[in-house]
Amino acid sequence: MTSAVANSPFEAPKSGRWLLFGWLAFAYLIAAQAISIAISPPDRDMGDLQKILYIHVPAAWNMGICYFLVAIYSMRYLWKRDERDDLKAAAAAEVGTLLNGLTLVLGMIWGRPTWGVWWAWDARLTSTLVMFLIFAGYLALRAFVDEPERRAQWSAAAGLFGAINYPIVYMSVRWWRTLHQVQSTPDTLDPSYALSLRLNAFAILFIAIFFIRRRYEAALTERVAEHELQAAVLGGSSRG
Amino acid sequence: MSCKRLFLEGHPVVSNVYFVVGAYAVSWIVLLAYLFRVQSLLRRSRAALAHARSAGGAT
Amino acid sequence: MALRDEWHRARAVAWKDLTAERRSKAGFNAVAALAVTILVLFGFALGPDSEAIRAAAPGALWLAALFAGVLAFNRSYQMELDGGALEPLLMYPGARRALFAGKLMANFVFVLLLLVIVIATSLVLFQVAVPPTWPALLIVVLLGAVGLVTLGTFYAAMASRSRAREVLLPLLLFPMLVPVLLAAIQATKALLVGGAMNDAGAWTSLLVAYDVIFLILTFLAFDYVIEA
Repeated sequence: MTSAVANSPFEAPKSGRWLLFGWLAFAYLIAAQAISIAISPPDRDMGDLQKILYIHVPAAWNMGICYFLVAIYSMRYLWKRDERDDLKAAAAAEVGTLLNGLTLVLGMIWGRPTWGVWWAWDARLTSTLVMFLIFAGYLALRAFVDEPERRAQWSAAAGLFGAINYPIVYMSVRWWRTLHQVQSTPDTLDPSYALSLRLNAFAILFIAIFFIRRRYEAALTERVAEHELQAAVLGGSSRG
Repeated sequence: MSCKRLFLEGHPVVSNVYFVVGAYAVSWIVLLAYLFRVQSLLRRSRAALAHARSAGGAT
Repeated sequence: MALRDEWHRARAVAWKDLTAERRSKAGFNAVAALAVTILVLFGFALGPDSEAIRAAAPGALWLAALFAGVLAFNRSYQMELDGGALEPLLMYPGARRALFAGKLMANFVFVLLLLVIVIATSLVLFQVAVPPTWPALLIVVLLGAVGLVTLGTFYAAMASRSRAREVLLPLLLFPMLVPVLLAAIQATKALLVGGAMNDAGAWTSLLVAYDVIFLILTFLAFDYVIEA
């Protein structure tokens, strides 16, 4: 038994306080949404629609953070060859893609009553969609390659390239066409919006951190189980 | 160009509330669905680990 | 000295791929026929209105070259994998970068020939006149081909050795190529159909930037990708 454990290069992760962190993150999200809905007056032009932005904009920001993490962990994997960095990059990519999809859907729900169309080929929207497709490809690559080391190296390259491509995609689509309203940063908005936006940005950030951690735990536990099963089978057959 | 100038004139304002409610509903469904997915992945991988350890102990 | 050795090796790989391709003429001919077929289908999709067809010609010709070229990228590794030749090739010292460079050059020639056929066909089918600025168009075609081939050859090294390679390569490659396609199509449009000339210049500089960035990155990353 102990020899089997020693055969795994890393230990199974412990949840520790992360479960509590998750509960707090969701409680904080509920509180942040309640506060921002309560304190923000309806927009002069948008009416209540601007309340959609309290999820849409934080989701978009945190999507960027997730993709940045993918690039960092992918580079770190290629540098140090620690499988855990690959699993972290994968977890960040999955959560980033989730937030990316959420950003797109919320943008459409906001755009329909505001612009009168579900979709407009503007720079920000289109480059967000392209990023979604790039990271859907990344996740497909991981799903279609079984051998762990190969999967790690290939997806590190693909994740890094995808993240690096973002500014280029954005530039090219912006030259191609532009229609979006000025980017929502707290400075351009009313103080009560700015506060609400910040509150919700941190809420989504905590949720994203929690998701990445849990996804990473699941992936790492699975890898440890595979190592130990292999060790158990090999040890059993050599002894028997 | 600001989105505000593109706002459809005469669009009934009350229907906006459905969009807001829909947006919040979609976000919560997405977040909770992912939460359950990750939790079930975690449960499955822990079961696999327990299985591997018991296999190691048996041999 | 060492660089020169690598250049010789890369040229040998490219020459080997192109010779194999030439001997089995079927490969290139079939892909070229497919590209022309795609162009014809675009003609049907865009309607009999000759003005609309002419305006859409730049997009149609780049997409036809892309869809047909993707087949070539997977094929270029498939030949080695089928013959079990990839492992021995990698055993040679310093062979990896040379292998990539060789494949890159072979695919570049392949896609360039494809583009020549596609452009010639679309000049006829889509009733586009050869513009007086054709040297500029030539530069755009060369830069666009480099962009397609760089990431195409790189991702094919992974996709050709995975399950479901037929769907995986386009899924990985097409979204990454969005800047190249946009730039190449818009520059071609400015030159072929008319429009602001300085547009073509801006798009061409985007093509140059993209090509340089991803040429450097793929050469740095190829070692990791081929070794696994």
